[in-house]
Amino acid sequence: MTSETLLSVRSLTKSFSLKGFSSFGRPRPRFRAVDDVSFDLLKGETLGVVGESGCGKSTLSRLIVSLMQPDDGAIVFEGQKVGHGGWPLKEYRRQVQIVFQDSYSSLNPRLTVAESIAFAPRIHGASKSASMSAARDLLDRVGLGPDQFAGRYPHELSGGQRQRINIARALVLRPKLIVLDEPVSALDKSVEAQVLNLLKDLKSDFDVTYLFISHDLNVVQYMADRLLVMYLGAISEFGPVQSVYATPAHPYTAALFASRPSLSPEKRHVAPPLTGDPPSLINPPSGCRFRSRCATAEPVCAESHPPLFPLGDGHAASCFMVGPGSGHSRAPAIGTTTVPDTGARH
Amino acid sequence: MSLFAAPDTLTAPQVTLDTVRPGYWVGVWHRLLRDRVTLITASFLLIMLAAILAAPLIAPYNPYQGNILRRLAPIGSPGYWLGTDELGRDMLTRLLYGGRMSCLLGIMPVALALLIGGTVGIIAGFVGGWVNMMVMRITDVFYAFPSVLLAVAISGALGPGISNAILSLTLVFIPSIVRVAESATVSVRNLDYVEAARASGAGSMTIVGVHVLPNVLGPVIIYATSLTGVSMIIAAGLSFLGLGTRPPEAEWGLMLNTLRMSIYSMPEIAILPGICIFITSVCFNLVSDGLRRAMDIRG
Repeated sequence: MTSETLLSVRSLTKSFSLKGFSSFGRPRPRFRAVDDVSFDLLKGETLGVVGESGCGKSTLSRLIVSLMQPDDGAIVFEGQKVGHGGWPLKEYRRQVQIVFQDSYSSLNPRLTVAESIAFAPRIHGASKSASMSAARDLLDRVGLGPDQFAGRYPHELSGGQRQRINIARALVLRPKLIVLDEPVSALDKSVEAQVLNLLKDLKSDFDVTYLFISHDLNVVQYMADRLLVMYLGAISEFGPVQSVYATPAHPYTAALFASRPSLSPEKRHVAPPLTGDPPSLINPPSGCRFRSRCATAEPVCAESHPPLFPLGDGHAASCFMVGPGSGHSRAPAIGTTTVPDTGARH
Repeated sequence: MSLFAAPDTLTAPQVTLDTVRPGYWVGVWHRLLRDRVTLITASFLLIMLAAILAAPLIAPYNPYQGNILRRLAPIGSPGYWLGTDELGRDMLTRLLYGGRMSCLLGIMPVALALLIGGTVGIIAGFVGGWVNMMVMRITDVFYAFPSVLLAVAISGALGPGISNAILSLTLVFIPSIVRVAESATVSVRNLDYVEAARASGAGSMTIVGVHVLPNVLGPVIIYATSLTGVSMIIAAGLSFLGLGTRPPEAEWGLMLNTLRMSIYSMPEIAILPGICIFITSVCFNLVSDGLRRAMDIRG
């Protein structure tokens, strides 16, 4: 794995205004689905993004593939800004593709699977016969015999087969980055494993980088090289998968890991690690966004949102407990970086 | 009636695993061929259309020339199979010629409304935002009036005449077609395959042409087909009120109007144009139901 940066996200912010409220001169309430998110995606890696429902994972993915425009911040792809004055949109979209969670609604029911796959090359100027042969080739690469499957319609396929078609469709333009927005969440466990292995094989075959969005920690551990944990639109922890899984530094990450179902009956959970729903994005808690659900919150946490404190080895967490001299009683002394015992069980 | 067709549809979804699959429209055609009700009504409509188109060739008499000595001849009179009307004109001839006008008034407004309303609805649904809001609110204003009342009001304002009747019926049908096209477009626009197409770099025109139109056109055309019967009935109503076609002309609604004087003396003749309207509009509705079933790709 090279450490060359493929895509950089800098202070990305996207807010939505709430519909259905009468304005009468007052501005509509707005909430920030993605709030000041910055990270780098390295060439050839798989970056896992995890978080609860509504934490901004899907908004982030749509921002990255330019299906939405950010309110603030920038996306830099291969050293060039995405958007006005940077990458031409059509060229950028050739480089960055997306696979959605719902395999059925991702495919036009009136097109055969080969036509669906051949659509993108046609848009980019390939001849009809070249597009169709590329589609058949891709069908073969994702493990669906082209002779048998090329002429089928989406409703004649199983969920796993449809998701393979979607993967083929994303790959047909030979992109450098594929955003996988919960690609296996809707699949059976047995099919899920097949699709994950297929994704791993295709990654080395096509020399592509993945941004893998999921809420399944086991899947992310299997797929990802590095991990990004999101909570209410902001990054709470970031780092190499092994180190985040071994020593989660943010209490939210620790709670996420503790909520993983255990295979051992002795390790059953007595109480849920986190209670309640995430607070409303319209009116998030002051200071640290996780404060309202955190067992170790202190007055300092209400004052400001903690920045990402580096923990070494590319691992960083947005929690005052790991910020040297932050004012939290559990914070390490200035000059030291230690990962505190957050009580995570693995 | 559809109950009788059930065994056919039960055996239908046998997915063949041929290497060469027929196209979408071939599949629709095959499903239509299996649907007996649709097949019968559609062939009836086709025969009727052929007959009224060929009216000048096959009609036994002149539709405008009556014989006052033969007024209201009963059904089965020699030479006048379906009798004669109140001015002694041959009913069969009148019904054939009247069918031309009635079908023109049934199909033409719907076709025009489909063209205009479909375009407006798809644009409104796809563009969204304030364009959508403007279009749909204007549509809602038209929706507030019952369609017959609206047709009568517009026709009354424009004056009698065939082209005015067509115009008023078109205006009546545009809002409902806009609405169907808009809602179908909105539901398609938010599906992931449209997003995926956009993420592939496709422009709006391509997306509408490849991904939106084929998925929207089905429901809109089916809805429009069902409006054809309604259009014929409203057109007949307009003629009955003296707003559509005018007396010497043969048109089913108008014939119903002029023959109503004879309803007590010759009810079986007075009712003939009504039967024609009824059968034709029922056939149009049944064909549209059959089309909907055949075009549902999961059927």
